[in-house]
Amino acid sequence: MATLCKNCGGPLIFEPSNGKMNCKICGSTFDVNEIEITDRELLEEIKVLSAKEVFGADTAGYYDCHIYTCSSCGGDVILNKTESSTYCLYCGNPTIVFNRVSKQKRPEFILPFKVTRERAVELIRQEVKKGFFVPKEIRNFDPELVRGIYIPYWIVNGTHYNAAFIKETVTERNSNSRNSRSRVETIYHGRAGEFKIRHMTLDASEALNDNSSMKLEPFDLTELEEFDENYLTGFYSDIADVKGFKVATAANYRADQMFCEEALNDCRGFRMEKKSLQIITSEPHTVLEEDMVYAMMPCWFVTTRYKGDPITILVNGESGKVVCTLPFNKKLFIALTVLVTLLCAFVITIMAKGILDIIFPQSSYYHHSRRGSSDGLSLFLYVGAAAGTALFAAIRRMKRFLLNLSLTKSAQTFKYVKKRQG
Amino acid sequence: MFLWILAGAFGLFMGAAIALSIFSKMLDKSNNIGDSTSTFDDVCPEHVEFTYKNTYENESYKNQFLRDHGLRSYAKQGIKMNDYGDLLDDNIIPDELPDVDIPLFKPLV
Repeated sequence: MATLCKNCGGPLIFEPSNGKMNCKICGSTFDVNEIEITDRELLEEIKVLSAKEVFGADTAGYYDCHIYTCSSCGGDVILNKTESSTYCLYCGNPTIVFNRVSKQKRPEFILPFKVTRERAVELIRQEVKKGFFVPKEIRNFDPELVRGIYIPYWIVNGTHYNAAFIKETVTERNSNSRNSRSRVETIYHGRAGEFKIRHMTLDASEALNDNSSMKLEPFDLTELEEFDENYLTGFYSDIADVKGFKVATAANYRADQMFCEEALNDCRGFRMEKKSLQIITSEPHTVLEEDMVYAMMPCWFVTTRYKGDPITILVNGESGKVVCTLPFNKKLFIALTVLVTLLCAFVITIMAKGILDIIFPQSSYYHHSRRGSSDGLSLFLYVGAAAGTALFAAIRRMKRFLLNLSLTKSAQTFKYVKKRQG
Repeated sequence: MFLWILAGAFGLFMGAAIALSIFSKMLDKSNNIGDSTSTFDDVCPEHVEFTYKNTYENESYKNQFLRDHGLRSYAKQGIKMNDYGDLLDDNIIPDELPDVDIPLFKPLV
């Protein structure tokens, strides 16, 4: 343990509620900058070793792991491949792996936790209570683990170039003509351009799914502090393990999405008319500047279980944004959907039968108007097409929902949180 | 009878579309929490500068458009093609970590 209380020698822990280092023993508080880490050079010399190096076992059948020595009690601290702070299982003190955040590997900035552990759980409860389809067991969830982890991020600047080819489908209904007909026209747009990227944040941890970490954004970068190991005490943290090529690919992918959205908006025009627009292809290229910044961002990971499946809920440790897609009450969802489907089907069937009677008259004395039957048929086609579009959108929404649900239930994220000491 | 079947099928299709549309939105709002990321405004201080805009009658113009304004044109315009080896050259990512991992807490014996 490197950061000790000046008054009683007890371990100091960074407290998000007041932004200071608190002593759990005597209750003293200190500014982060006030606490000097003693024997830094010595601590940086302590290396993370593989268990084989420590114990000399070299039989292929044995499991291996990373072992660090606790600077407080000398106990073995088992780490994963990228952990830079954790807890010692023997003395319970926070342990910082100085060797992994030393000199050239040192992050430049850190966004300290502002949301406390209790507040994070409270924020989740508030969100979960609002959900109509959230099962009762999740509304009254019992957290299995609540872990504050600093996630490594790259903050990048650069210029994005792109050329997007866009398809537009225009449907025009000519109501003046005798036979009311619609005309479908397809045109294409080309949009080429560029924009400057400023402070794009990209998750630099291989173990954490990018789709999960992206949702934690935005982080308030004006609140970044110069990196200090003291901020890590009391929290887990990982070092970056995503290399340059992957960072550039991720930046290019996200900038492409942004460019395409702006290109579509440009085609929609100033009034943002409702048009059917679709990106056919785009050719993105991002030139990153070499001033990439390595920073650590705070996140609370709260795990629980629903019907035996792991669920991991993320809370942005700075803004308090809750990120999760919760399992839903399937019985309630299906019952309501079937009920409303049958009710709507009953009403629409009667209306549709009336219209079909006009289109296909059965009695000879029924005055058959060609105009009327044509209008009726058009009405059927329009309403059917609109319903088809709505159904397609609903299916897409459900697919996206299920994809997000798989992220919340991801065993990878669960392991990312669980496989840490303490 | 045929018209009733036709109307019924249409009604069922419409009903399913309406119900799924309503409840998928409700489900999304209810259970999909915090499903948003950084927007364009968060990472771009200015608007996109569109250097070329055009409208075409058919898709056959796509290749020409991409040839003139896409990836192949960037080198001609003097735009740098990234050499990612330049990035992170100060060895922030450690290479020396032994490639051992999980499972943890399994005794070595």
